[in-house]
Amino acid sequence: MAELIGFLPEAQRQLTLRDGIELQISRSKQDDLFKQFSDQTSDIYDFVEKVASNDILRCLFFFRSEYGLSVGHDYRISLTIPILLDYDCDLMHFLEEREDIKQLRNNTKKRYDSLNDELNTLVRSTLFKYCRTIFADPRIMNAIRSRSVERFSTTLERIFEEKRDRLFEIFRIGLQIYPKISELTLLEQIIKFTELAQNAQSNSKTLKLLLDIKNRTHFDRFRESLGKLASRVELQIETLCLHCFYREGDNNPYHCLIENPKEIRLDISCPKCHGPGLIHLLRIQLPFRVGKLVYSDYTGLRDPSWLNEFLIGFAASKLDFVDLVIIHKKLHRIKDSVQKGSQVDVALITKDRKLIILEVTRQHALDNLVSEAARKKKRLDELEIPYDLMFYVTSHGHEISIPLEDKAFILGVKHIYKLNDVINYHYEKIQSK
Amino acid sequence: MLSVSDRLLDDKTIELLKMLRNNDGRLLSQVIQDEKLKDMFDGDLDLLIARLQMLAAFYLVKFQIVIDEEDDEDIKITLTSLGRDYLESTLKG
Repeated sequence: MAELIGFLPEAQRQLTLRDGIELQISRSKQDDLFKQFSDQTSDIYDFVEKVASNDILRCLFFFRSEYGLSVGHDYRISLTIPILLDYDCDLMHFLEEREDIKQLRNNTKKRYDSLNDELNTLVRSTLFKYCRTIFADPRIMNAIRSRSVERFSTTLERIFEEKRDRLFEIFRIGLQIYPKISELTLLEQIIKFTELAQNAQSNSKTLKLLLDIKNRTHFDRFRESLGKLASRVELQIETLCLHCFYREGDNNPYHCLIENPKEIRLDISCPKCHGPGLIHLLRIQLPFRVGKLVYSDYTGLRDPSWLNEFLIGFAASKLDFVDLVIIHKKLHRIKDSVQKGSQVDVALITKDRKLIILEVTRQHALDNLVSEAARKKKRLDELEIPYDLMFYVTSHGHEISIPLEDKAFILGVKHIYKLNDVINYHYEKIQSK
Repeated sequence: MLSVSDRLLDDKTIELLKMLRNNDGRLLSQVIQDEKLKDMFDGDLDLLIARLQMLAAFYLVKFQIVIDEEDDEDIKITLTSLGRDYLESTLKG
């Protein structure tokens, strides 16, 4: 395994590349956050190492998903990934092209909105009636003016006893919210999973590039990988069948929530209606210290995750021709003096002193990716960073890698699955030239 | 000011929120190098970042990625109007 530099203790370090080219690595602005990567026994190092070395888990972090900030104990970060396991099911066509289903979707949304309004009105009116019954009594206002908590409590108790029947009547009407809450919760789940269907379907197509889920051995590998993850972190799997609700008209669709299972059980089709519209929502609670590598940008323009850079860097460190892996640092060319530099997500220095650069992003839209990759390449060329290969590692779900030029390529999730084979292939090609 | 038991956030987090208000638009790289903040969290950067993430989860602050001319990413931290109102009412209360 190559030497990994996630945290650079000194301000900069100089390296000599092939043909005597001098290069300087400098700390990034966030380097202090990566300090635990200098300790191989730290829990953050161990977590990243384990995920990076499992080809399926590594890819999961590039699937269409959302990082969420959760206010629980330790204020951790979670990653939510929707998956539709039946890759033959065209769920989006079913949900968006059929007029009757479109109508049902609209009605569901309308019913949800109207129930929400009803509930708000009911809660507001119950509270209002309750307050009016209590606070309209002049004795309570006098008690408040007295500023004595004891007098206030006694008066409140007395008024409550006197007006018990009226107050119970108000509570009784208020209890009508309970059956409405149960319906509202169900509709909320249906709407949430319907909104997730697009990403679940895309992830299903991406997963198909990696594994044939309908092949028992492949399916078991997928389950085993999730099992390995669940043995290390909190994993929640919430499953809901959209076919039960939209196709079968079942108001009690199949819904299941499993937390930290010992053994991962995932259904490909619905155990209730046998339809394929079963969406699994994987919710991965990241360990406490990993949270500092993930920031959700409110503008939604970028989905930054330094965690993904570390996953790719750790995976590439297993290549036998790589001597040094540098993660999230600035690279400067030295020509007489240190030139202006550029931050690079992952840099590999091979044993024969070649430089391979990997830029990492969770973006998947090709339009943006091509222009961003071209911009980065141009920038590196302008700064005369002497790379021999450059890979733009992305979340795109296409089968092919997209060449920018003969030594720069845009990779997708399929290539992250076989990352080291892909890098090795291109490295051997440049070696044979 | 309200006592700790009456408040949602503890003294350290309120202090952090105050410092962010006084230096609105502060960058993450500046926050993690701020000696006063580091001392406040006993040099535990993980805990300091976790508090920041918690403030973001409550929509009291928001993060925005900024990239400098050397492609180095940083996180700009700004208080939301909810964050300002919360801090003001807590300090007054």
